[in-house]
Amino acid sequence: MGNFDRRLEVFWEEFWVYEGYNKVLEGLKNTLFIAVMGLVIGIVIGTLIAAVRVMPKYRLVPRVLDGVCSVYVAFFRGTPMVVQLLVFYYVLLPLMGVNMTPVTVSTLVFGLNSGAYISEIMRGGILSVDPGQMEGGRAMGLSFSATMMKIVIPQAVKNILPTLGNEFITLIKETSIVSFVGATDLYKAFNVMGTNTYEFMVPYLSMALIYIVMVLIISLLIKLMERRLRKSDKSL
Amino acid sequence: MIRVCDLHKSFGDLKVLNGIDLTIEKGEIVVILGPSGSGKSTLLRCLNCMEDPTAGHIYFHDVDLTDMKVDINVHRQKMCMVFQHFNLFNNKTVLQNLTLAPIYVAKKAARKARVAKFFKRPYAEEDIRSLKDIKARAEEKGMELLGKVGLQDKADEYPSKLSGGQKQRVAIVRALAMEPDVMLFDEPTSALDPEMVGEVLEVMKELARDGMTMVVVTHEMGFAHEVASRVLFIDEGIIMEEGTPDEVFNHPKHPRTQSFLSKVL
Ligand SMILES: Nc1ncnc2c1ncn2[C@@H]1O[C@H](COP(=O)(O)OP(=O)(O)OP(=O)(O)O)[C@@H](O)[C@H]1O
Ligand SMILES: [Mg+2]
Repeated sequence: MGNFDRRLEVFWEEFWVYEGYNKVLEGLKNTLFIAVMGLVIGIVIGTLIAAVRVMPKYRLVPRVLDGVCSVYVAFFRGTPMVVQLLVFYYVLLPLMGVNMTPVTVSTLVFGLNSGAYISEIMRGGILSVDPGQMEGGRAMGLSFSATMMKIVIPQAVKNILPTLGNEFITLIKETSIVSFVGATDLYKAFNVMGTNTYEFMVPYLSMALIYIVMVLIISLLIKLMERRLRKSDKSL
Repeated sequence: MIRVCDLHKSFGDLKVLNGIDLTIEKGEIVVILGPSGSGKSTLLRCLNCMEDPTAGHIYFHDVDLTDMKVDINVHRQKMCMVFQHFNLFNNKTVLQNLTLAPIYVAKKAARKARVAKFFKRPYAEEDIRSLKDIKARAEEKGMELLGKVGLQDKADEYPSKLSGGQKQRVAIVRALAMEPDVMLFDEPTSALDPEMVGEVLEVMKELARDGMTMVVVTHEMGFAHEVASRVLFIDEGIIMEEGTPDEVFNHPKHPRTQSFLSKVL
């Protein structure tokens, strides 16, 4: 610990004088972009999958869709996200001849991956809504999908908002793997600074602090949201 | 209006309905009685295809609803159901509960008509309405209906703020907002505190006076006696006895009916 001052000095020089902060800002931006967009894509995909999975299964089409969805969920939950990222970037996209930036690919994979997890969360949320709500809608002549969209899913989302918040935190933490395909995230930014100065202690310490602060802020927001919801529940 | 032919329904090995034949004419008020588990709810739910019959046919305006090709949603809009537990939309205000389905239907009709117009196919000009117009008319109608059951001041409340009796009155006018040809009631007062039963029955009696066709499962013998044009007694999944209220209540023929009535009257 003796030369911590010296390390701090080196870091500060790299960060401020050699404009390492640009990289950090870019990394922060990418980290947030990938996590937020991943969550948005995940919510859309997850909601669709969850709706398919709770559909009545009398006819062929829902059954086939259900099969496709369970394979999808099994794949994305059953393999590590790093593997999914590498497979997409180095196998699937080249095979299809598609060019994408590392950040775009990462966002896509994060969306697809969290879609699988959110589908399970959403399914739980949908099942927690009183079946009478679906019956009420169907008995009025609304279609299954209309009742789902207008009545059931809004109530399900309300029930699972805190869980979705946790999924967002998970996504933020997981973004530290996107440097595997060359995207600049927080980890990559600080890693570069470390490599430039042969000094890793302060960069990685700062990185940890930034992650912690982000997660704390988001947790706080979730808590506030939960409290608001509970209040509106009372008046509801 | 409704014709049921040899309707059977089983849940796995459990045979619930064992051949129901029933015709309901316009303006009739049919009350269905029967012990718990006899299949009353199942019959009602088969009528609007909330349950798929195992065998048999249900004709509504001479359309066979058990035919898989029929768009059941269109028919349910004219055959609305009122539930024991209300099933109001919890995430919608009272007024929105009333307007949701009518707006949905009108929007769909408008979209269809616009497409038909574009392709120069026949369509009804009055179906082409703006969303604003659709909404305004649905809300106007909704408020009028709420006025009918004395709940206009609750229009912007959420259902969880209402008492059971108020909820059921909203559920009834929600169904009415669809201008149905027939209304199905499944024990509409069974989940209510005794002091609220009256207000709901009052609304139903008014409907009956206005000539609404109704199929009512209930344990309210007074209501059945007073309002029904026909009473059915169901047990073991078949119609054991049917007739006017006077025939069934005062001169029951079947021993099952007699013992059931002696228990509930
Ligand atoms: N979805 C279902 N799956 C399996 N069994 C069911 C289902 N719905 C109803 N049943 C069974 O069918 C039988 C008839 O039920 P139903 O609800 O029609 O009776 P009911 O006459 O309405 O009785 P109650 O007066 O208690 O409402 C019961 O034994 C019930 O357990
Ligand atoms: Mg019942």
